[in-house]
Amino acid sequence: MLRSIWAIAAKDLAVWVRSPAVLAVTVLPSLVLVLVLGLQSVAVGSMPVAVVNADAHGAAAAAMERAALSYSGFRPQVMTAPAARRAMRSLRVAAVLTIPAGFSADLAAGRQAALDWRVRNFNADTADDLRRGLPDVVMAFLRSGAAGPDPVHIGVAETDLHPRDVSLVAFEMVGVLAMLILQAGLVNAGLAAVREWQTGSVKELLLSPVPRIGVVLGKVVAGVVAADLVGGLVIAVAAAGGVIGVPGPGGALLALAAATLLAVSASALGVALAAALRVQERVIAVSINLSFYLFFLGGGIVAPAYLPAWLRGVARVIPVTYAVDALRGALLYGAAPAAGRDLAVLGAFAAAALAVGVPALRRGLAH
Amino acid sequence: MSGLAQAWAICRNELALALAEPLATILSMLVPLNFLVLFILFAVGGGRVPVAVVRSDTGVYGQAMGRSLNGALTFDLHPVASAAAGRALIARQDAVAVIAVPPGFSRAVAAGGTASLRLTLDNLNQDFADDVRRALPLAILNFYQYHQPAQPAHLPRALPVTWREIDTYPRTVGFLPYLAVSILTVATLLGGLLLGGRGVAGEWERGTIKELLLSPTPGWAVAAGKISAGFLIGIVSVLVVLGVLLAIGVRPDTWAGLPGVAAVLCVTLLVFLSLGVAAGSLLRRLNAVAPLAFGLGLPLFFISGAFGPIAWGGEAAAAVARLFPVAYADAAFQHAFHGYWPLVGGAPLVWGVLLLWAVAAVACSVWVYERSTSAH
Repeated sequence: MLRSIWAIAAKDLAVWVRSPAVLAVTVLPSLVLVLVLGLQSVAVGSMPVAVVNADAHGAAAAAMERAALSYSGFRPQVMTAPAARRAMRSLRVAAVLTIPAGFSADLAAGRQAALDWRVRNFNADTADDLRRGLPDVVMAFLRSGAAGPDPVHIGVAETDLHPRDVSLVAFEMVGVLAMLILQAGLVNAGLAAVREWQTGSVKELLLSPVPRIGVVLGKVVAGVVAADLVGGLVIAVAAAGGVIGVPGPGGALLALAAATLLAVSASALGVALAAALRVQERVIAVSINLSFYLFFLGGGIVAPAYLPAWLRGVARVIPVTYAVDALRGALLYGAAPAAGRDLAVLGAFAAAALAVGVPALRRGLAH
Repeated sequence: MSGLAQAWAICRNELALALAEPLATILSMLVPLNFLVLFILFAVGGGRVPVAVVRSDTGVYGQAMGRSLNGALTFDLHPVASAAAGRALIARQDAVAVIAVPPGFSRAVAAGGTASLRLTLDNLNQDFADDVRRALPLAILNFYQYHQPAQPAHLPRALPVTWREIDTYPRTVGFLPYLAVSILTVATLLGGLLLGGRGVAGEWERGTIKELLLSPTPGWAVAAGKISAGFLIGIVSVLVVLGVLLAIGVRPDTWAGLPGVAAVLCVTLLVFLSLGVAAGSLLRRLNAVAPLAFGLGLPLFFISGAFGPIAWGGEAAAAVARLFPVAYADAAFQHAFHGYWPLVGGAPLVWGVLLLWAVAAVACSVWVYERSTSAH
């Protein structure tokens, strides 16, 4: 029985490796997503801002300029007023911060000085990023003492739950990894199953002495191996590229367990879809759409906490949420406090998916 | 039979085939709708940061700080009784930070002493964490500028530095309406490439290309027939997307913008259908056209103004985006809906480029089809 399962899995894996189209369908959506997320992180990371210092000889103005230039939320460029106007008109900058003439003199005389803050308010997200940014700059300026004794007596005592901030790209990379595993399992197991009908080889399978459960498990095993291989490759490339750190033995083991349990769920679901849809294009279309939705709802892009309450409820009942949580803990944070819960839930999902997928394909093979 | 009549016959044949095997048609409708749903999730998720707030100080300054946090353009505040309750919200993934206004906060402020807000931060990544960190100075400065109920003598009458914000537009468009308009670009981009590509690739896959190539039908009539059929199907799918946008409240600032939306839809769809026909002639398999549409189309879409003006995403990406029609289509849609141009040059440039692309793409579709006729 075990030998039969492995023979079927090995055959499906060989077909997968030799089919560029299937390989492309397996990895292309995720690669596109990686590219998109990279582009998006550049687009929303920091915005170009012109800094105009019209109080060229003032010491306080120079301190304000330094505060603006050292602010990490902007990509600041010092410009003359006409150049800044042109840059604003030609959309090369998102905002212009003008330190007016007499800024330093006003402060020295004890008068309140006002900055000009021209904001290109295309949409609420970019505009609010700019509106949040300037107070940071002003706060840094006040703290520097350039405007006299610091008038702000309220501070912030911060305690972080993770030892360091990981990059947005690394955070999203782990989400994409979960999606890739999900997609590899769904698509490969689904296509491996549906191929039997499309090529007519289902007859030989049914006539062979291999029990039907063995046929089904062979396809699930092929999906799991393919998913783990693809997932492992992504982790290796991300670690080699410095996007994520090299996980320790415990982290690697937890990542492997979470990835494998997710792949079992996905592969079992893939064979169930194949039994229901029976046409390659439909399996591909449904698998890709399903994996995208599960990825977004499971915290692939934003953590579930950012979703509205009803969507958080949805996130709690899909396996990707737990896989992403365990993978982020293992690969990014060096600790996964909820690893036991995550693996238990993933194990339960995998068992439930097998309970649905195996009989679905057995019935499909019988008809 | 004239070329036009032949084009019409090919168009009718394509429509009949689309009805018989509606998968590509449904896909071309589903993909943009999927993106709309995902963008809504993205916009909803990225809007406000869920934060538990502990107001242990009930004095006037503690209350004023609570109002300042609320006005910091960032937080979705969930009041909780204690820091432990806040951390429980983080553990349940219902919040990403706890901000505590500690006991004695009002007393410290009133006495001119130093007071600290306590921030417990689930620093999932730098971007999310910085959103919280950067909002706190705004809240604190707001506290000093606007929310102090009674100014004690030892505090400054006003902060030494303030700022005057001057917005370019009288109204700030919401993030969701901005993103949602971009969906029309995706709908025409993917719908056009898939439908146009399927029209020709299907002939190769079914083996009927031989009859088509041997017939006296001119290449332009074949391309025109395929493009027309794709246009009729594509416009239905785009109208479905447009209907969904209108239903969720994303609509032009004035209804006078609607003809503009229709004009952009027609020209953009023509461009991408023609490119799809050319791709179908080159690749000859729908399974190859679809990855090309997704693999090239989606990244191009994302650097072409999906989140903001293209220049803000970096010069290299902007230079690439300016070469292709996607950025101009997106700019035209944004203008038709929101009344502003996210591209320099405005209407003359955008329409000039789109019309040039339309002519070039149609010519390309005919040329590639005819080339495959003679050379292969």
